[in-house]
Amino acid sequence: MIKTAMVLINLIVAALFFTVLYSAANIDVSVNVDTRGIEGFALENNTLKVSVPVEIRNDGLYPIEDVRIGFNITNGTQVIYGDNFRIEKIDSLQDYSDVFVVSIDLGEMYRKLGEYYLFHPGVFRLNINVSARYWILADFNAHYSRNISWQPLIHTYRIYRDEITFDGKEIVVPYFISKIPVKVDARMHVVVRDNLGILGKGEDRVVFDRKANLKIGITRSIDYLLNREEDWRISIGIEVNGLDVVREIRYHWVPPISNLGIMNSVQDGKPVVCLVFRNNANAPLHFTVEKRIIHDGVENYTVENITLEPGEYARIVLFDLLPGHYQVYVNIILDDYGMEKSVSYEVEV
Amino acid sequence: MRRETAIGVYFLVYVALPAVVLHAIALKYPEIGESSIPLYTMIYLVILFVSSSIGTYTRYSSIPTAISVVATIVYMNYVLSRMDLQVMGASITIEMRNMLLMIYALLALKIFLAVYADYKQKGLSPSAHDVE
Repeated sequence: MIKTAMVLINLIVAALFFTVLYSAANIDVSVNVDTRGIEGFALENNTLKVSVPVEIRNDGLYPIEDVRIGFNITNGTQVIYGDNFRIEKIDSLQDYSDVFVVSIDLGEMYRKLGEYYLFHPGVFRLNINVSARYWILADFNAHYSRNISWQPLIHTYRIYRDEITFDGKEIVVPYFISKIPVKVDARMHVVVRDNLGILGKGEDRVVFDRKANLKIGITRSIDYLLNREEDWRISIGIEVNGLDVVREIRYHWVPPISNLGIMNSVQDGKPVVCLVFRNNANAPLHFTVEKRIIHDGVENYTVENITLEPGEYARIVLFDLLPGHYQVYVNIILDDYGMEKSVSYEVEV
Repeated sequence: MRRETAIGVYFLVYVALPAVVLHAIALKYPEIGESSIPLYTMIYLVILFVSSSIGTYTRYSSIPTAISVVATIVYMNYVLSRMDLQVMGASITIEMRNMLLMIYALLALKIFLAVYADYKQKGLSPSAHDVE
């Protein structure tokens, strides 16, 4: 009787041992990362999608229970996605297959990882963990890793700083932005600041894959810029997939005229008072100079139109230097830019 | 059953057949074949064979039973409680602690039965009577 019991125990131990080993060896878990779309990712609106077909074949003798399939995607340092799926039970000699879709919100991803992946390629790692309980006997855990290469949404981002122009009404910023061949909505907003504050603002939809211009309207009087040299800070922001990437460039404003002044001079042997300035621009400029001269209470108003070649000086005689009291009011209008500057001068000869 | 026949059967059950099965498993899963599992398994099975063979030379079953139980516990605890495998690019871990607990309980029962059987046999044997 005891011998029979011991033989029975031996048989139970052997049966448990071999059936579990056999069954564990006959679990087949296959996981494939679908590589459609952008190198493993498919982009739908603002969502990146990775399809992961999972097939679990239970050719063992016991049911597989509490199957948990966990996904996470990392860039090596940060987890940008993590999710778990649960399957209650896969009976013995049954197959289970499903396609799990991993969806990543791009805006959220950029907020987590910063703007780097908007402009630069990279490699993400998809980790898949499958855990299951083999009836009450054994715990099964399988870990898969796949690398997914990442292509940035924006390939080229260039602002033509040397080609920024200002016509007195608008600042025009030329740019070239290219992207991967998927539909991407992006907006560009630019703020120009000088030493006194905001000079102008502009916003528009980004034109991709060709050279385009963003026009910035001037928000305050800029007449003082006619002969004043200064540095501008131009903040250029691109809002794409919920991420606002702002970059700042410096732009040096060279005024159209320089060396503006009223000076004594001699013309035809007579002493005169002149208005002097220089054309700083690279193109000819057209000026209208309004002169109002009051000499001992007598007012004289004249208008003079001049054109100056690049680098050329204007020398406009205001009055002959005769005894008396002079009040001089000069208005220089730069027709090409729509800018004007007033100069006043008072002298007792 | 004659002793030689019994040893032959034990050899078949504990050594020959498992060797064939292990070889087949190693062919199907080279990762397992290259690991230390087949070697330890064969050592364990040889110990079982030896302990079973010893059992044919003695009336007392507790000694060979104890040898086989200790060998089983050591083998299962160190080799089978946790298996880490690399199969087709995946890291697979199989933990069998629950199964081992069940097996340990059965083995404890087996030792108890063996000791009880020896005690009973000793109590009935003439030599034991003489000692008393």
